[in-house]
Amino acid sequence: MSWVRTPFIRFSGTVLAGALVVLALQWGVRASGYQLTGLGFLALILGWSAVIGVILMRYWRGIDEAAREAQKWAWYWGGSIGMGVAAVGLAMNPFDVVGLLVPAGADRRSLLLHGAGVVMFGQLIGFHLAWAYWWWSRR
Amino acid sequence: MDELMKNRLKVLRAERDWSQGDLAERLGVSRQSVNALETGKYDPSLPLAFRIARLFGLAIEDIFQDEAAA
Repeated sequence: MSWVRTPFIRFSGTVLAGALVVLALQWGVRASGYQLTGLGFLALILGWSAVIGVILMRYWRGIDEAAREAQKWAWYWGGSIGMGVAAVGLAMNPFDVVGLLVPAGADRRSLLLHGAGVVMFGQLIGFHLAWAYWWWSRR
Repeated sequence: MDELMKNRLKVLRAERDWSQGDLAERLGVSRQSVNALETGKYDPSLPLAFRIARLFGLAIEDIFQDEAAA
């Protein structure tokens, strides 16, 4: 299980775990009926950004120059292409993907959030594929 | 801009009977990075090239050869 100790897996795992915690918090807040607005919302966003910032900084300092090059290359090519594919996919809407993702009668805010989520998801998929390709082609 | 340099890293490492992991540890990089360097598919930064040269007690140009300049 040595691959678990690689910085990239640790990084992805930590961010994923953090995202799950935030989703659970969001679900808990929604279930309690409490409206998280104003300062509470700002504090949550700032706190989450700070956690992500610390994780990213530690990760970046812990990897060597080839791994940094892989990250930059993967974000540029994978992230850009993934974002483009996702955006064009949303615009063309094959197989009525939008209908599957967004509930009927969704408001504008929900549409905007779902659109942003799909584009970010496309970026992440593209990034991970490009990252894997960079290392695979230099194995 | 995409032309990569040839290098003698694998030979120099073998002469010292080091594994890729040994060399990686001495250079402070990952074993995957050493592999990418040895196969000539990744060129090191100038600071890393100096570290490699110091480790083997050679000049940078004794380890890395620019094919375009040859």
